[in-house]
Amino acid sequence: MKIHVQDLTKQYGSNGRSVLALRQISFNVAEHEIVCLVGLSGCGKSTLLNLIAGLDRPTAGRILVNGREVTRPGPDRVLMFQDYALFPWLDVQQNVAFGLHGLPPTEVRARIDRYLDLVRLSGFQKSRIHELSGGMQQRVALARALAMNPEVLLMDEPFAALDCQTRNLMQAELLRVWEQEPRTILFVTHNVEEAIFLGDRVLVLSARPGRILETVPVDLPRPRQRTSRAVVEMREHILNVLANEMLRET
Amino acid sequence: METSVVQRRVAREQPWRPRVEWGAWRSRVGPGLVQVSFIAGLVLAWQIVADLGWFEASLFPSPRGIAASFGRWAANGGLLTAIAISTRRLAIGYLLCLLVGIPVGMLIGRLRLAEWTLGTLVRLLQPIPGIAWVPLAVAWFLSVSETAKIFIVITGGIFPIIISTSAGVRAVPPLYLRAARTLGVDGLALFARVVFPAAVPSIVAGMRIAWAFCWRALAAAEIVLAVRTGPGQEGLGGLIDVARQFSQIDTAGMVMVVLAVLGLAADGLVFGTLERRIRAQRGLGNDE
Repeated sequence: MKIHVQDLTKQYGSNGRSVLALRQISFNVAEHEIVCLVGLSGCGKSTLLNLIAGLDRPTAGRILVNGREVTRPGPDRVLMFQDYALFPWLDVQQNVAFGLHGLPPTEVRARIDRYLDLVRLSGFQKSRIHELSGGMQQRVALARALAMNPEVLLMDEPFAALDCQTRNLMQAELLRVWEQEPRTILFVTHNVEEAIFLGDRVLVLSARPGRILETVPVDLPRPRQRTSRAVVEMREHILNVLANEMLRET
Repeated sequence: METSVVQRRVAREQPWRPRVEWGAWRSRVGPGLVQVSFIAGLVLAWQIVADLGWFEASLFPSPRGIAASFGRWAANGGLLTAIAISTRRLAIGYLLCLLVGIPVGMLIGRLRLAEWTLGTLVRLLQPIPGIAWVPLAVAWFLSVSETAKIFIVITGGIFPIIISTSAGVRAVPPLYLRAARTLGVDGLALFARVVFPAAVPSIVAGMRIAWAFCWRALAAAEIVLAVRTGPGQEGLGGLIDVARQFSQIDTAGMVMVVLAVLGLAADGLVFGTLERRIRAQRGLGNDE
């Protein structure tokens, strides 16, 4: 098991006005598996990724990555964000090298070239961030994360800010990169189609406090057709589960 | 082809525009020429008023008198000495402002306790004009000393630096901090590699304001604390004081012009360029 999440509970705020974001959530992710988490907005998806990234501490329960308990950020896990979170005072290659301090310069150079090449951005080494489109910025963010050589990639709605065509392209690009360099990916999205297109499994989360309503295995060969019968049926099913959950909540 | 109702409506509702568009004219001529000709016209009008003899020449400086005074003080070397001496005081005071102000501002922006203590102190001291520190400066340092004047310069510039730096640090997007931490950068490195660079635009804005404040405080200190020595030995403010003692109204006007031109030049050349470069590098809009 690459990621082992057990009875994870997260409560925000003090006792007076507390918000229960996650309640006793448990799941596992196998090595090199892509697991997608879908849920209604505000269901605690991002909270979950923050906890696994070690940016926040759980109220109860535990998270093991490679059998070691997560207590803080570590080089084995990198979190990617919807808003790219690139540093505008650095150029593209400096952004990619951001987490590589302490490595010999030749190694840093090699990783910059290798990962910018992998996301098809070689030739943009010296570009400023604002000169790039949203899709290109997210490619830089992907290269920056991969350059850390993490075993686990935590992706928090990374393509949600992109237009539809760019998003589809980036999904295909992520799978291409993953096939060349397999990693364990935990991918949070509110887009059911995206989850089915990418994931080996889709975990459907409830409204807050987040619990796992259903685990949907996606046993379809890649590349998947977004409009194939199996995908559409699966999508229909998950959307129904989410719609019921939304009705139950209101 | 038949024009649709909508198209005709749009055509009818086009606003009326004058033949010669202001925008086009402005882009051809550029703002520089407008600025220069406006100031030139103003100087010309000023000279005409002075020539009309409505005001006594000893009370009303004229452009011609200022030019003559400029020639005199430039020839005897007094002006250059004054500029050199004032610049030195300003440079020392300003650098000390940055050296102390930026770290203190970062501390205030990042630590609650520092904000409640130091931040409160800064907000209390900030409204006090530099000139009001003169009695203390004289009491603590010799009034003829450089230290007293440099102290006044520091009181003029340090508070805007601290306030802009702390505001810039407080405004660093939390997303940057989370991104850096997930990439393994934390603690002091986070400060140096994320918090500081993210706050740079705000820090430079503060440096620009502080520069203007230091410049004013210096001139005030030099006027009040001037001691008579050689020509120009007491800086530009000292020259104003000499002009006051000997009722040389043109000299006073001349030093004011020099103060304005030097201040503007530094502001435009150094800070204007710096801010433009930072904005371009980060793709921020140019809303100067």
